[in-house]
Amino acid sequence: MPTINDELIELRTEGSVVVAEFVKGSFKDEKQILSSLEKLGSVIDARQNVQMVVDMSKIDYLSSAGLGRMVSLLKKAMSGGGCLHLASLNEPILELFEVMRLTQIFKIFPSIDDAVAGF
Amino acid sequence: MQICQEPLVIPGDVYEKREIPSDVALVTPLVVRVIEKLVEKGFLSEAQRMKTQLCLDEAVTNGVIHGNDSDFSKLVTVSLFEDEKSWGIVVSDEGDGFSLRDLSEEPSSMADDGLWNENGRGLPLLALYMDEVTYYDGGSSLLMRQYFKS
Repeated sequence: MPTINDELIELRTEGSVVVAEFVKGSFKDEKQILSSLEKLGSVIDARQNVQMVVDMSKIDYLSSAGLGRMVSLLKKAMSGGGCLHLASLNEPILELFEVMRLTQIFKIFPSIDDAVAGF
Repeated sequence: MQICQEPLVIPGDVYEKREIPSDVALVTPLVVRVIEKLVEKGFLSEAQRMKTQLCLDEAVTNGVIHGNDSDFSKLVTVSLFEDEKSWGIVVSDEGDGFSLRDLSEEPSSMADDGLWNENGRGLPLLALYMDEVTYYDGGSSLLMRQYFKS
């Protein structure tokens, strides 16, 4: 099982799928969110064909830099033959993905279970 | 979004002005205080709060990093204004500004072939979430404005 030394993210596996859950993610956590996404990138880099779900339910804020890191994560996963699914986006965050047209490149699911089943 | 070479004349009354040295660590506390002030003035619904916070964060961070090159001796100033038809925020830095050509040379993150870009979403976000976004002073002052809905 992959591990991560980060106070914002908890990792677990469901079958072959890595589930990354943010435990918090308000505006004041923005810098930590960026750092945590960077660390998630290292987790993806270390595995070929990774299937990862990122639980976004506790994320209340993402800047353009955060969106950029999310795109970077997706690119890393796909370049290694894997895939990244996003789960449980709060309404303002989902709207942000929609207005920035990122729903065209990300696969977004209403729950972790749906996102895991979506592989 | 427009870029004007003319000096900025802030519309209406400026009721709050805050400034920080150019250090990204100081951006979040500034944004929190400014948003609290806008909430206190009754300008922000819960839905608008996150969007305005995002715009202000992007604008101040741009001013610190790109405008002032993170030079601690240079200030980023945030002014809040209101007039009879709108409220708004002006973010000014002490940099040299930029040109429309600088912007047009950036690949658009909103275009089909730009969706995979990892940068360049800050300015499109401002344009989407604010009623008016105008750069003055050659790009070193940014005015963001929301018109009161009748």
